[in-house]
Amino acid sequence: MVNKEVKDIRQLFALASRSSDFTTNTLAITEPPLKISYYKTLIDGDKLQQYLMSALQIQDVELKLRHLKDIQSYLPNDEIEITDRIEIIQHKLFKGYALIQLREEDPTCALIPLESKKGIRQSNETENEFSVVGPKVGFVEDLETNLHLIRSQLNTPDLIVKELTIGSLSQSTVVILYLDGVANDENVAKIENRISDIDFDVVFDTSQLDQIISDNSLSPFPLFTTTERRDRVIFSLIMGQVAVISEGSPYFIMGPSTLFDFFLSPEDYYLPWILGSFFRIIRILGVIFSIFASALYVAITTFHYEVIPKDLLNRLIFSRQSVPFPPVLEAVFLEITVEFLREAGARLPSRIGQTLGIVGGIILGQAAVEASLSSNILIIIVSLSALASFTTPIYKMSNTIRFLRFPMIILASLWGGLGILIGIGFLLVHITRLQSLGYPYTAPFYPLRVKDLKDSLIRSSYRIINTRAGYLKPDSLIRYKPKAAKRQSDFEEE
Amino acid sequence: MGSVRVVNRAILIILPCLFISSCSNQQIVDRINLAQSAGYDLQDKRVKSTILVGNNLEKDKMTVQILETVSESSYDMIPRLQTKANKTIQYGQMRMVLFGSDYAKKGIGPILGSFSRDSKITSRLQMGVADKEASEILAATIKSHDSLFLMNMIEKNMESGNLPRSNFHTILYSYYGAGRDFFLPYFVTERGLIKLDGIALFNEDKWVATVGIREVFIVKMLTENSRNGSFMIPLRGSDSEQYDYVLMRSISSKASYRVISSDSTPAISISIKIKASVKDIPDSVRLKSRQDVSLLENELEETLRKETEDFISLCQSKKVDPLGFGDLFRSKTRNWNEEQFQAAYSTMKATIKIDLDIVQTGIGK
Amino acid sequence: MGKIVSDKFTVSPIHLFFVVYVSIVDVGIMSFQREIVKDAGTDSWLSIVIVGISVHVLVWMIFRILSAQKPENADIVSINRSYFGKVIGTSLNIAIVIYLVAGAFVSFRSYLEVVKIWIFPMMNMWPLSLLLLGLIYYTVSGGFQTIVGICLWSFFSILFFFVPLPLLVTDYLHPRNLFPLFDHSAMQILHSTHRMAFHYLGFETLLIVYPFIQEQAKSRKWAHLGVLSATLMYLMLLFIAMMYFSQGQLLRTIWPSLNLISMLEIPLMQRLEYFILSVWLIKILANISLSLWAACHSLKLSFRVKPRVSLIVMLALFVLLQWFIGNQEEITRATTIYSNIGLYFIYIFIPIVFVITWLKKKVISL
Repeated sequence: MVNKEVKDIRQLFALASRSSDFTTNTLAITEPPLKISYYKTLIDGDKLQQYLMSALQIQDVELKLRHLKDIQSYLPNDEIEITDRIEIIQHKLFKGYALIQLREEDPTCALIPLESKKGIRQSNETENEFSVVGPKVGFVEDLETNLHLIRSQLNTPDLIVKELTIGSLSQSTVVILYLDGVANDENVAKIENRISDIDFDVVFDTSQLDQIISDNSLSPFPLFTTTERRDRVIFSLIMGQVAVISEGSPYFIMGPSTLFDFFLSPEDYYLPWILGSFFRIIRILGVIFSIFASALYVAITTFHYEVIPKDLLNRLIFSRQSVPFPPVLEAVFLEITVEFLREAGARLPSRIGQTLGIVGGIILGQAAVEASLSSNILIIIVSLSALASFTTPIYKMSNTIRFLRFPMIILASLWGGLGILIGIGFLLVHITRLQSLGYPYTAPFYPLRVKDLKDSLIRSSYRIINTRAGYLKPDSLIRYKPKAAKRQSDFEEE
Repeated sequence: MGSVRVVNRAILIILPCLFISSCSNQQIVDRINLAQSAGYDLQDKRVKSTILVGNNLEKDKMTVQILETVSESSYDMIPRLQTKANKTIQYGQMRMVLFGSDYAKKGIGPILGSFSRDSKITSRLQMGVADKEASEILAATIKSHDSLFLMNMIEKNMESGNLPRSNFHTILYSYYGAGRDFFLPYFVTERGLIKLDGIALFNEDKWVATVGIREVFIVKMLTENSRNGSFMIPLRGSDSEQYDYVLMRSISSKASYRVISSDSTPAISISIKIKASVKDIPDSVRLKSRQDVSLLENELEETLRKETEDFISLCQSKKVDPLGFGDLFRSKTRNWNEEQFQAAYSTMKATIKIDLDIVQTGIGK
Repeated sequence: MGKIVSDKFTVSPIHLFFVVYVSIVDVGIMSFQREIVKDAGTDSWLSIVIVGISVHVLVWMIFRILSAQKPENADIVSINRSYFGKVIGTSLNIAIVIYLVAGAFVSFRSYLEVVKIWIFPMMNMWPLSLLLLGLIYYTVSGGFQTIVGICLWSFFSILFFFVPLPLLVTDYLHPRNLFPLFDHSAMQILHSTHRMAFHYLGFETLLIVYPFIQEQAKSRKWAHLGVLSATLMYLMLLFIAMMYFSQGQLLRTIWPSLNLISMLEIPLMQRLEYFILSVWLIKILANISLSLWAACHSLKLSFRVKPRVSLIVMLALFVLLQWFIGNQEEITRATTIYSNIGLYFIYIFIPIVFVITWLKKKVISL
């Protein structure tokens, strides 16, 4: 255990002063002189000047302090806390607070918030979940900013923020957000229990929590939606989901989620419902294509030459006939190439990455065909399915989809179409068995809730989707009462 | 985690099995020879089988390879041909089977039977009959660089020509169904070129009669609600002894059958409604007024009626039933008996009524 | 015993529709047309209607029987115990378990046989069947809710392919083949009815799944709808097959439904029967899992055997049986034996239990 139990303040100082950035000064501007201690690297020097020094120095005379509490009346900051509980003192010290003592041995300290926001990204434009229409507000690595963003749009006292502290080394604050009276209390309690049961050292990102608290760790599927978009979080809050974010992470996770949540894009709601539904269906078709296209190619060229239409047959044979490998190797080789390109593109600086992706894609593809390592029909299929996998709005899910291709290709190479269907069988059973926070992952299709289908495969008009999805068991179902605009035409005139 | 252990164990058992199993079944599409067209001939009581195999060596151009073998029966075609090929021969993409005339006269039943039991044979297979040798006609298609030349020819003629629609399924339908006989397209070679020259009528599985391509229009009209097909109709010129010809193009047609009596001398009435366009009218015919048009309509109706009667009496004399009259009587009679009907078939009376409607006559006056 | 099933494991009434439909319709739907047309020819649709109606009556009886019980005893295992005493009741329960396992095995084996004949004539089926057994294990061990989920998916996957069927083959349909009507004797129709009844076996799992349905009173309508839509599906496929094939041809076609599909062509694919036969796997999976789950659950109720253990034993039994029942003749024989026993089960056993229930009620009210 790295984290030693600190018993009293003296021990804390002894431990802390081993590090050179721990500073202890004596302020002689008051009577008696104040002793102030802080980590230089955690506090904001300007704040120290502004809040503390200048506030205490305005008087010409020396301040007479009999009690630590007197400080509060001179300082403008109302977050000052006075305590002698050592665990709080230690916690706050690491959060960028300065400790003020009257005497050196005094166990009671005033804690003054001077935390620095240095090193935190200022731009909060959404980077990974982009949308053309709609707001582009995303989250940053600072918890308070993130909560501010949420609260400033959800102006209701029902928005409840619960803080928990996780991580034996990081002592990160993890926040659970939900709308009281909407989210089912059971879900809140479940998430709260699971999070407070965690024993972990450093929480870098909320997505780690996602994996730790997930219902099934033996699944390639993410069980909580992850997002950096404000509108997405707020939307899931008003639908009755519970959102969680950890300090230092720009990502929220929301649960209980269904498989379908991963294919919704906020844009669906900003476009007219007919278009929104159309794009949603396109996205889902893209996913299906992405998982099965190369496997289908392998199955057909390896086993089922009978199913190739006669007009396509000659073209297919021609494109493949000088390829020395069986289709399965050809497909796996190309799929892995695409994965290399994606991985390289993600690791490299964005400009180089983009160029490399294009260069690699075009040149490698061309060369593979020239060198007869692959048929050009397969190149089309593979690149289309890679493209299709990126239509998924949530990156985690698109990774899952790309991963699923490989078992499918292997199964297809063993039993052709039947192999693919065995894969689909396993997939269907798996997603049917999955649960997110104890809720079925495949809702609203299974368990079938006809009423909830209005915002699933299609996004119906706002007049129809005025209720919350029932499968989340929200406390209240109605979101708003729709009023139709009166139609004005001579036909309706009386 | 019990389930994890079980899954692991299952994977350990299953994985090795996977790789043992599947290799024998692979038929990688570019590593097999696809027999796309086949022919059967009778040669001194032995069966000569011919197949066409396409090789795609160049883009958009196929070299067609012809393989032949002679054997005691038609069943061992593939194994015998395999000895002459460098890749496994597969027939799952076979779309055309052509029978030589001797073979077709002897009966194609065995082939139909074995194909119908074979799951690799598609229902869309086309069949045809050659005037002499099937292998000769198949060899003549090599120049076309298309191993499915004959099939494409048949399908195009069904779509836009006079040929009535048929395929392996409809052939089996008539072959196994009671009170029906099938027919196949009939090919001839003319100076090295292949020509579709009508249909061959079969009784059971034997070729018994042939109908020319012109009369095939009648069959098309009688068997389906056709869209296409054209018919050249001779018109007696008003002043000369010579015939003028009118080309009639069917736009839509509908034949309806009615059983009048089903006792020992069966009788039937057929009424056909045709909408047709008439093109290239000779100068002697004027279509100025409504009367002119109905005059022409009457004349056309009369010719068609006569042709139809001729066709039906041909069928009756050859005891073939391509139009499915027997099936019609079956559906209208309880306890129908096929033999009885066969006996009475040649005396069956058919009344034909044709209602022709000329709808448009080109865009010029 | 005697515990009401926790809410966590139950499903809402609408799902009973899928359960009933899936349990009725199995591999037989590929081949039933020939069997019933053989005897009753153009009138064979009558036999479907007759069997359909009789099954509705039986489902009604089952609901009557089950709703007369206390909620914690509403399954056939407890009913057998309380009606027939410990010895007879227990042996009846064993018989039911064997019957269910046999049903699952027959489906499993016949599906593999169809696959072998249509898709992989040369293949060694062992690895494939082992993988399938793994899949079945994974499904059944997911519990009732997972199985119902698979029922739902399979219903939609099949519907997706069969509903457009009549539209796509219209050109080849000959309505004349449906006539003349009423051309067959009552005996012939009875024969074909007997054959048809085989294809309805399976709905009796209702006797075991009943406690797992929420709001059982509401579920009645869904069970009947399930039977009705199975009947409609059978009727539709019969009519299409009768119009598509001539009678002589139909009698020579072992799998009319597959031959029908083989006529279809879509731009990227022909010979769709290969594809649909593969999709059928999901259907068969649902069917087998449902029976096996019912068997495991009955064993648990009557002997407190751990379902996981009994499931593994059953699957091992599948492997053994596959050794013995190898060729098509043996499969047909096994199917016939199974189906005849099934007929006794549904047409004799269920009415007897129904009468006993009814008498008991009478006695109590007197």
